[in-house]
Amino acid sequence: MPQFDVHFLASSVFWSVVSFAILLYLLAKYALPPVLKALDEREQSIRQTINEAQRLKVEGENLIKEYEEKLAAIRKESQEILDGARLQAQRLLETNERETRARAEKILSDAKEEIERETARAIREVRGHAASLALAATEQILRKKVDDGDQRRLVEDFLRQIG
Amino acid sequence: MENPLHHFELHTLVPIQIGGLDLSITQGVVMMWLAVAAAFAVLFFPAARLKLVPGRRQSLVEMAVVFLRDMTVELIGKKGPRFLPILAALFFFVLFCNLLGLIPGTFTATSQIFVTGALAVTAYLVSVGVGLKYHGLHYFKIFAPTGTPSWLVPLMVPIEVISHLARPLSLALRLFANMTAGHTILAVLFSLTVSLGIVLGWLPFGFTVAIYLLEFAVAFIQAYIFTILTTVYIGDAVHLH
Repeated sequence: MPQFDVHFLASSVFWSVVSFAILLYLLAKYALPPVLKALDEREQSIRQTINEAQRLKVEGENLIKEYEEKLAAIRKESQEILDGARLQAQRLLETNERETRARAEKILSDAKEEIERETARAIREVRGHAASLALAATEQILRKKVDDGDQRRLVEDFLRQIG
Repeated sequence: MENPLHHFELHTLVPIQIGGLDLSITQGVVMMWLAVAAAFAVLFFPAARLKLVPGRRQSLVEMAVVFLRDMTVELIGKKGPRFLPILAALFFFVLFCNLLGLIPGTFTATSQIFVTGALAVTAYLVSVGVGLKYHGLHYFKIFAPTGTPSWLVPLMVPIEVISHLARPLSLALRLFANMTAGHTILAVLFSLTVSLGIVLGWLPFGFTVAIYLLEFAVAFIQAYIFTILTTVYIGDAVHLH
């Protein structure tokens, strides 16, 4: 086989080692560092992005929790306000009812008093009229010369007897 | 029929003699230079052209680099990535020598036992150097691992020494044999195609195409095997088994 011809042994060995050394130098010095750096940077950036996303997620969750708590608090507060308002309204209603009833009673009692007063007055008036009527009737019946003062006295006596 | 091994012969292009050594430039040497140039052209990105979102070539290069880096971490451990440059250089040097040799009319530098031998010995010496650097003379305990019964030591040490010497030898032979075999088959099939002519020649020609595709895969596989074994040897040197 031509490969075992030692004529080119020194040349082949020397130049393979030299060529390999040149490639090693070129790769180690120029080719690999930027690629490795780019890989590291990408890794870094991916890691950063993931961390950022995680952070934002936690933040979002916290925000949601916070809002939910706030919402619950607001709901509770509004319920309290509503309850308070309902209670107040109830109280107002009751007071109103009481007052109205009191007023109605007062009106009723006033009216009763008025009626009693009017009745008394009417009775008094009727009494007066009756007296006049009786007087007139008596006057017509008697048509006599009884003076007015005697007649009235007589009638009044009569009335006192019956009254 | 043409001798199918004929195209493995080296020819002096530029004769160079230094101190009695013949360091002539042959077509094999030129192919190695082309491999170095091609590897660098594919792998090198000026820092400004590296994008956070990579294009096709950058993706490919990054994939290869990540692949090799993960391999070093897996086989060597945390210290693995510091050996990435030498392992990447080995991988791409072998790969591009293999691939460029597949272009018809070119020469496959890795089909030369002296070339693969030089690379294998270099790789092995790197692993020995790493062992000496990390463990000093304790490194030689690799020949008699702790826990070996003392009566076995006289047996273990020669076996371990032989297995260690077999490392560069197997690296060199595997790559050389694979490249030589593939190209020899291609040469045989192709000369068959030519000699059989248009009537029957299409049969070996079909095989030529199939084997050529296979050789394309072999170019990658052999570069990968060469590199992963070197990584294992360096891993051994770092951990002493």
